[in-house]
Amino acid sequence: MVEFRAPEGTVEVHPFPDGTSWVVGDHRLTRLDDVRWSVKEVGRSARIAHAVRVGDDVWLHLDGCVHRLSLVEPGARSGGAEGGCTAPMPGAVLDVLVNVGDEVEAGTPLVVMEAMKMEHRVLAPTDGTVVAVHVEVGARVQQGQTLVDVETDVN
Amino acid sequence: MRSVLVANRGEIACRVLRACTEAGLDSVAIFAEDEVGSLHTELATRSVGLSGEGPSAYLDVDAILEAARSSGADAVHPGFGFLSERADFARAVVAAGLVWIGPSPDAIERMGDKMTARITMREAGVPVIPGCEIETDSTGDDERDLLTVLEAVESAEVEVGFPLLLKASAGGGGKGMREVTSREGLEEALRSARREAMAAFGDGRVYLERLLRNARHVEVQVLADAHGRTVHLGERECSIQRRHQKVFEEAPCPVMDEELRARMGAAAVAAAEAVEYVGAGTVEFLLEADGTFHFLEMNTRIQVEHPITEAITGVDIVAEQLRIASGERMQVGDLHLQGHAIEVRIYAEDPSNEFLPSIGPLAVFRPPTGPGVRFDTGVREGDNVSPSYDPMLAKLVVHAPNRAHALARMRRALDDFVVLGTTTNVSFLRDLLDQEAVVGGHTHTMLIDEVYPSGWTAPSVGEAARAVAACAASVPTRSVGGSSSSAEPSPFITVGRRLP
Repeated sequence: MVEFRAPEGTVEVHPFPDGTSWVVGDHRLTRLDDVRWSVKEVGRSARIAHAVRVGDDVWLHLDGCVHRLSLVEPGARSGGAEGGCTAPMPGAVLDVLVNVGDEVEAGTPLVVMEAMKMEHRVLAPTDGTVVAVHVEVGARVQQGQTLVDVETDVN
Repeated sequence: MRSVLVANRGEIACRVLRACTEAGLDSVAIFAEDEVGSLHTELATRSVGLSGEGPSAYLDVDAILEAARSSGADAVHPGFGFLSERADFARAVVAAGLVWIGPSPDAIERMGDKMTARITMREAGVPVIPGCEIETDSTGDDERDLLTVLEAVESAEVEVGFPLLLKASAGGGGKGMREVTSREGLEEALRSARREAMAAFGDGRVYLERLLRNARHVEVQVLADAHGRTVHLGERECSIQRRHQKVFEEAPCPVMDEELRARMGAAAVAAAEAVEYVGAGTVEFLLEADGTFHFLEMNTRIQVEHPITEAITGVDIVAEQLRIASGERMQVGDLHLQGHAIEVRIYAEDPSNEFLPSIGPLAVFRPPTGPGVRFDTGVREGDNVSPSYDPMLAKLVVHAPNRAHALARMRRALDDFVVLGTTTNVSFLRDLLDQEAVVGGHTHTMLIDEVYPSGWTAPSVGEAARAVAACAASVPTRSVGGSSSSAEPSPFITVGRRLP
């Protein structure tokens, strides 16, 4: 059994081995090489899919569409109480819009950054309270560097 | 000219290096410390490492001239971006006794400063967009200049009117550009535009243009040699843009006729001749529905979308650049356009999240092939997409006997294109090609915002796709990278698209 995260919650998929193939619902899948699969559905001609695992995600290409599915691994982290807002790319801090102690809602702009010569806003990932601000205006930040810590309010 | 140093990286460096090989010239690639082993270094006769990482390495004029000297190069091709439109670099190349493959530094300067270009064009009789140049000190006192600009805007309002565009005089690529719909938003837009322009270009001067809604972005390719011949190679329609950057280009323009092409071509040639242009260049126009057109700017370099012109004219523009730079006459005959060509730009970006640049490994990277397909890239399977450089990974070009066939060919090519491990705009482009406005050729610069008013949503995951993912997760497969990639949506939005 394989579990994926989906917008509607966790989705379970049950592939059954059958000789050199797998059967999943109405689909029969046969592995062709390390990334290619043949996908055969009753009454339809076979289609070719490409799939590869990158970290905890499976990326796949089927019928001209790319999908990225996140695996729910046993014992995977279920999300901590703290949301660190990090710089997604190197850049400079143009403005800090919050102070420690501020109550913020998910989506509240926290920091204005200049990256790739464009202005961007870093947003609060959850509702909560700002517990730390790690940067000041003018600071140069690296990708992944934590800018602001937002603690989820616990009632 | 025997050996050409290509002062660039990625896709365009590969394009130029291949042209050098075909012309029987030696070539030299340069690479930053974080680009050891990248594709372009393998296509050159020799390659020279620069110190430092990221774009700044490719902007180091002294280091590049030293690389040319140590490798025995006698010419420099700048590609696009980086130093390609820097007159000081062109001057330094010439002063070092090397051939500069591009227009004169003087021509670069006169076209590079957008305010000067507008004035030059008006004097040459080329129509410009109604607007107003505002003279301020480029790096002077911010507040005082702000007042000057505000005053100038208010007196120009009658002529220009709202909505208007604030643009950086040193600008390009949408940087330092803001749309202003009313007087209330003006001051904030002005501050923001000047700040972005200062950061990007070190020059905060801005000017005003009337915002022409539903206009087409149509540009004309020109070539000029040192023997006094200047020709145009027809037009390219580049209206479909996101964040003021082009994503879909085609040639010819769907609404062009012979008479309009002749007039726009003549205006483009006049623009080039006004600055005694030599080499390949592009004159950009806005074309309104009633057939009036206005000069936008001239790009004094090879352009990303040059392959669609190559496809329909049969002219190898980079080969002509090399020929012209070595003092020969261009080998271009009369203009005969054949069929229809389309280019899409493949970006490492997330179209479902404001087109934010994405990074990751190119775990699987299998470009389309087949009749009428050209694929220009600087990456290959196994490479990593880094956040340091421009997110454009490749350009996909198709050529077919007519527009409908070209669209069908592009759909087929995009369907065949497999990129896994890094989010790209391929699925978005595929969706775009089914949109009525694109199919009908009713393209204009606001098209993406109109067709996708609340953004684009990725297609949902079907049963078959889940089945593939489950099987791929159940067998030992080629596994790439650590767990650094997160499934969480990016807590990050780009302001530029909403507030251009």
